[in-house]
Amino acid sequence: MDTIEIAQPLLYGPRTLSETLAFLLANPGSQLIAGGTSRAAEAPVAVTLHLLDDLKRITSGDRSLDVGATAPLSALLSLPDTQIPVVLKEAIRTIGTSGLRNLATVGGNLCQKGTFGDLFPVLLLLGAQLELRGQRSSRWVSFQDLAEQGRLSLAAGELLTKIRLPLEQPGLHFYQKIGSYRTSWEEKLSMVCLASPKDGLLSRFRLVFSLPQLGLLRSRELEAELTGRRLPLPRQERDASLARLADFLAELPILPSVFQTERILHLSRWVLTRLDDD
Amino acid sequence: MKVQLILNGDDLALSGGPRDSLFAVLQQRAGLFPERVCCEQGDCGRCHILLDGKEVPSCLIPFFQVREQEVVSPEGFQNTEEYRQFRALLEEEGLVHCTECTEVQIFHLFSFLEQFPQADAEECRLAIGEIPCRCGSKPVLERGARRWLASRPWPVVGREVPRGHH
Repeated sequence: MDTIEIAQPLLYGPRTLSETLAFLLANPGSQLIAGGTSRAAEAPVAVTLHLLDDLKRITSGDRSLDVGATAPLSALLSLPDTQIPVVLKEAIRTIGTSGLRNLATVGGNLCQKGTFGDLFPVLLLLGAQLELRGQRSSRWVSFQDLAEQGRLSLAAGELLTKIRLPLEQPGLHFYQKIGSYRTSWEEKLSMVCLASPKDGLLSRFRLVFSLPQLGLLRSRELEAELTGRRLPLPRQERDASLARLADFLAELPILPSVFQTERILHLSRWVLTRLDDD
Repeated sequence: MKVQLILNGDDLALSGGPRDSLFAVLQQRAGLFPERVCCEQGDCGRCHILLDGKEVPSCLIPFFQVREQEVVSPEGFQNTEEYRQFRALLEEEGLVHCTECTEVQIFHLFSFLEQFPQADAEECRLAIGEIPCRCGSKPVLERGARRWLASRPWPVVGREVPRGHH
């Protein structure tokens, strides 16, 4: 392991995963730095992961894609569409600039302080899992479990090492992001929707909104109600679903802003109309 | 802290603090990016460099992360044959020199096209739009990007990743 600096902050640059995990176990509270795009070294002890080639690796299996936690976002954009769900590429393209995407990592996007990051809702709907490794342990956690827990909680010495996502392409996908890091929270949100029409029926329908102040917003009732419906949806059914979605939003313990509520309803209407079109 | 790197083809060691960005060190210690102000958010393109062949905003890179890596700044890029060819092509398309953005745009667009030779017109348009400028050169750059890609050998569509067992 290389010690890069002696004065504070102490920066460590391990070259193997086992060195990293041993160091993290012995130094709880160390700050991890991957792409380094979100913050500089702030803690007294920081570990830079950029020398760990294993964590940058992307491998494709028959049914899934394994993405190392420090793979840069641009590496995923370089994959052919047969090797990655296209909706994930669309979400990645909305993050920063092409230069920033050469630096920013998948794991860094998921481990941002106080938020889940742009890729979380997409990976949730795709049914992805995270691999968390400690010096003597390894476990897989589904994004669904994380969404229910409300945050990614790592045990002492644990590190996010890999993201595994199924390669199945949904029949239809919609991704929309409104606002950027410059925008105030009231005017920021993203939407991801996966839908599978089959034999004239909507065989699968998943819709999630991500709001900075609320986290993920998902109406299971709406999803269940629409799944199995015959396409195209009659206008009255669309309007009834949107009315129920508006009721759902109005009953949340923390209300979305007026702007967010309007956009959620507008985007939902757009999605339901597009289902009809396709 | 001293960090050994290759800067514009030269092996050298630069000094900087553990919290310094690469941009700060290149500007203060290597005399690059003279008088250039950067947004420090990775947005403006004014501090972009090639790090091991990939375009990145140097304002967001912790200085210590470039140890033993190869850095090419816009100044280094301007000495290459590729730059002269690309610039000549853009001038044929009507490029007008803008002191605010021309060099930044050329560097950014060339790097993008090298990294994504399979980019379609929409992806090129989005990449060109990433650098803020009001000088009106974007249509020129879009035409230039199309011609440059058309002049290259037919690209492979995407880069296959190794197949492994899960």
